[in-house]
Amino acid sequence: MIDEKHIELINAEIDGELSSEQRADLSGYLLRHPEARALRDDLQRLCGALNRTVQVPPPADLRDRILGALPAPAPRRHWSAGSSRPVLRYAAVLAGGLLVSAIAFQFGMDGRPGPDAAQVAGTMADPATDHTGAPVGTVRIDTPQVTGRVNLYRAASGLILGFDLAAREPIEVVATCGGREIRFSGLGRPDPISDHRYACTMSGSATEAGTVTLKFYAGGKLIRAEQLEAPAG
Amino acid sequence: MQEDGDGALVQRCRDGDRRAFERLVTRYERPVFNAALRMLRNPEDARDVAQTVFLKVFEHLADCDPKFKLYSWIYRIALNESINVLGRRKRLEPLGGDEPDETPGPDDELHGEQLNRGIRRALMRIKPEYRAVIVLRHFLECSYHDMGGILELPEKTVKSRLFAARQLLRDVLRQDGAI
Repeated sequence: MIDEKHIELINAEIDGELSSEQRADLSGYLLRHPEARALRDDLQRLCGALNRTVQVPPPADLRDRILGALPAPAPRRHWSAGSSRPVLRYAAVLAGGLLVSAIAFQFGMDGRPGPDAAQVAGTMADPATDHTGAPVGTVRIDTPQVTGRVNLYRAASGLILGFDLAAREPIEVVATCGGREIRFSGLGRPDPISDHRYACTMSGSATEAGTVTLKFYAGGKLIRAEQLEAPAG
Repeated sequence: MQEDGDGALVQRCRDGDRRAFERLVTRYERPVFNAALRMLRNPEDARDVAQTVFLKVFEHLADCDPKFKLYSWIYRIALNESINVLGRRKRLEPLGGDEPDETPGPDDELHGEQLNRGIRRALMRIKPEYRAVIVLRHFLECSYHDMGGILELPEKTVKSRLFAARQLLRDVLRQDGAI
């Protein structure tokens, strides 16, 4: 039977925490007690093997699975620069360096080149304030490339698509309604900007009841297609 | 670099910077996965636990006490999640079947496959609370102080539990003729 004190000393020796006085004590004890010597030898071998255990690499897809499963970023209350006018707010955000490269093609402009982001006055909406009611439809996206959600709201100005996405690479979204398209390029750029929230008002006849189809592209490949039902206003 | 420290990354995460969180994942995915693997001996379960751990970390970063070491908190979640999986597994498999073994690691070739395999099997035959201290001390290289913080136990209790765990492992290995 090995006493508690010497079991502690054996473990302290293994952990490299033995003082010279304790070492002398333990040495004498081990000489007198062969079962303690056997325990010490076994534990040294065991702990040596444990300490030499090499960590195995995690699965290659673990990081992507974790990042892909993160919830969408929480809405920010002070996303805009403070102006009450959506167009000016968007311009302020641009001036602030967000450099959103979303390009919106208004409904009714299909077949023609769309204006650049600075010229789409009236089509970009403030995602924080231009739609205060509950969404009439929501799709959730959870892919390795992009996660988050797209909400469809009805506002006086028409239907608003609210994108609340976090993407690991540039994403292109094509929204189709009534055979016409809105195309958003560069949503969720892989830069330090973490708050990828955009909104776009769809005005005109296409905002009647119908189905809005959303197609998400990454690297030119379709990664997800979803539909939102737009009720009549 | 200061900006690479856990505290700075946590602060950036709290500010909504997902790339900072990605760096934390990169930093801790290996130890978390390995801790779960040693606790569960099943790579699929370990992967699921690791994913759950980081999602919980992400959700609760705002509540993380800055005085507490981030890795201690992460390891605590990893152990608790692993023990939860063991609890569910126990309910499903009351007799405890043969769990799938993990892929042999480089340690097997370097340091004696028989003993390492014996240790992995023996680990599964001691209680999870004993397994946890072995994992923390020998696989995650935690100090007794850190172990006390992770397990919320006095250092003295941690030591006595570890010493008991080592002896239990030794007894199992002797029974199996692996040591």
